[in-house]
Amino acid sequence: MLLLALDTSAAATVALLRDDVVVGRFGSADTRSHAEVLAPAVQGILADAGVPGADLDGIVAGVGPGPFTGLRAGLVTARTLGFVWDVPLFGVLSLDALAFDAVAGEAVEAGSAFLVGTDARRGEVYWAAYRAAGDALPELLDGPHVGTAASLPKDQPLAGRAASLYPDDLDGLPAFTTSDPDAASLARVARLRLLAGEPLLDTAPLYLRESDAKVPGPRKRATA
Amino acid sequence: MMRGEPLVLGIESSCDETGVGIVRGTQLLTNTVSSSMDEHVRFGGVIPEIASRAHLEAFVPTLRTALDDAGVTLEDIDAIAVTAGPGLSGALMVGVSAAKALAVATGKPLYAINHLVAHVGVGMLGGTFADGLPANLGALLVSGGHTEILRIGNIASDVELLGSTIDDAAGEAYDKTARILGLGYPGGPVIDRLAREGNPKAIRFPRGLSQPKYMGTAEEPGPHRYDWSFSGLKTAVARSVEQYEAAGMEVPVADIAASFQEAVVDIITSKAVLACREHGITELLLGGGVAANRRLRELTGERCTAAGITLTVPAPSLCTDNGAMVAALGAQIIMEGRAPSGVSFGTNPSLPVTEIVLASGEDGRA
Amino acid sequence: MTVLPEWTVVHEVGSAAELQALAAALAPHLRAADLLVLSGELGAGKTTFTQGLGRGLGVTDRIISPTFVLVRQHAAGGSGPGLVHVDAYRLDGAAAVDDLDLEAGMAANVTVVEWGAGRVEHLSDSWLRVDILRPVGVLQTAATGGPVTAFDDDGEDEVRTVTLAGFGPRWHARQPPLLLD
Repeated sequence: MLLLALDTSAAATVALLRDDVVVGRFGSADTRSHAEVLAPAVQGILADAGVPGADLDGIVAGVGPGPFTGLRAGLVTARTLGFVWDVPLFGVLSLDALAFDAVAGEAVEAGSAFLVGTDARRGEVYWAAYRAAGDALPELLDGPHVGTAASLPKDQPLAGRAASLYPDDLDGLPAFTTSDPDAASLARVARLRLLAGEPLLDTAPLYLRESDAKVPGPRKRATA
Repeated sequence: MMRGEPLVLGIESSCDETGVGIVRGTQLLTNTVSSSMDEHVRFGGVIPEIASRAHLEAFVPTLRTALDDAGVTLEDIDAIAVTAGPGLSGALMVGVSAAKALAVATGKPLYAINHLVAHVGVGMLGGTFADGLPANLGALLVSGGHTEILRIGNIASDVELLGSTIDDAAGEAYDKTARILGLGYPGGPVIDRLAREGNPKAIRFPRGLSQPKYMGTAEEPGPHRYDWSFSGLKTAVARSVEQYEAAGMEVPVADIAASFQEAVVDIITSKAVLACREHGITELLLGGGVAANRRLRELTGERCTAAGITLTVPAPSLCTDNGAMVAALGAQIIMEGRAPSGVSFGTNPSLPVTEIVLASGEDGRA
Repeated sequence: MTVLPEWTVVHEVGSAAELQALAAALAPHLRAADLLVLSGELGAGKTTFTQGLGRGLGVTDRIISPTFVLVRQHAAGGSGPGLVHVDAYRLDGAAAVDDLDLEAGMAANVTVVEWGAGRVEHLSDSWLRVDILRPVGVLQTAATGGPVTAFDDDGEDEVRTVTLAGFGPRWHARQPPLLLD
């Protein structure tokens, strides 16, 4: 199985996965240049691997939650590539990639609950609660949500950058306090679901926040 | 190998229209547009986040429709062109990301082009300038975001800004005046319609930057000889309305609309024609969304005729934002032999009109 | 939560040019990371004020309305701060403002937000509020006795009241001495 994965919910990351082997990957720490770096990364990874796009078995996109502009850059890229190459699209909750990493890194014991959190800016975090499930994929218990770090469930360790942003409120899992969703892990999550015959998401973005626009009131009348 | 007439697919997403157009040289094959305008009306203006969300959902369906409509496949396409600026940052980002993905997936060259110059490039379509752009060409662009008079030496390489607004764009002045008059959004069509019922001479509204200290003379031009200002006009409209309200009188909305429109159109056309005459421009193209305005077309036509200038106004569907204009400019740039922009350039919300096509890896910023 | 200003000062200006001169005189007292919140009805002169501010900061590009693109960035003329000019009218709600990512540019610039009141104060612990008020609803009478129907082309008759108010620790004991009145 050959999967190309993109996640732009935080950093811009791209990975090419052949079965369970990562044959190419790209990551940029810059969270504001997705529209610049994404296409060259896809082009470079496929060229280096000698893989024509139409040979892919699927394109996996992280559907967020994440800052909107970067998230859209990834999703429109995935959708356009899928359209041109006529390759199926699979959506995966971006937080699933972090949960996968925390369990694969043996930071949480099988059966225990933990949190995943990323930077939502404006003093808030995107988060979800999971349970580690041995060899299987982590089980999503609650979320995704957006809220202040102080509003998260207490007494559960957290994987993801939110931990280093709000150390007073969150109990970070060592080695995962500055982690962002990674496309290679996203691809692995998608692959395991596909192999297990589990459903995947479509590529609809998880904004979690409304566009916040309000209808303005009428102009005040001048009165004498 | 490219034939004489390149088949170009153009992508536009700088504001609230998701546009995909396809041209073969100067021949228009399709102009497919999906607009989120209806979603913005109740907010009194384009809401960037709503526009960006709509671009994401509309892009692939619009692309598919455009290809079907033109009867071509992506394999047939010679090149892709996309608006890199100016425009709304988040909206541009969607179109540019999509265009880059298209270029990577098809292996076709990508040209990152200037939205404003594309409004001029659209004049190439439909046989208006079938034998090429005339030598002494100018362009008057009037829209919600822009009010500019340009001299076009070469559409692919030489565009000069002669004058522009120093504050609000003309379309913005319409929107804001409509807001003051309680007429809703967008302001252009409703003011144009109301103006027909009003007396354009009822109120004398200011013609910004028309005084000698700004104008100077042809030999010694003042600091704003070909520039416009609409902020004083907006203030005067507000003061005018308030007077009637304060006195408990009925606000003469139609007269104010007509007088406002006359002030806008008078100063736009008089300065544009002046710039043409003083720069040897004998062919003028009127573009941008406000080019649909009845009074602007009428007075520009009259004054151009009087000055011996030939006026060209593209079809309304080509004046508003669309992908065909992007494709049309792309085709000219390709025929001129300019290099493609690659896939690592950035968007530039304030891209100056002199940057017609971005070089590889640039974003046109100083 | 009501926040009281550290200080408030009121200036009267008699024309658009005087409004710009006031803003230009304020500019040398501004520092990088200052946030200015501009209020005033349509046509009050918010962009006009910002043009004067830009001139005072030594910005050389043309400062035009940010309404269409929402944010315009102007590089500094010299070694001082640049200018970020924002129109927040269509961004009701603090969250929509945050999508503009103004924080990214605030440290190196003076950030001026038109229609910013109630929308952008959360971006900083301190801000300078600028309220521009035209005398509204005063019946001006033309020579004929009816409403004025001929308006000046030059904005020379545009009288305004400009109220500056400093909020937060940055503006504590930092009232700019504007010697215009």
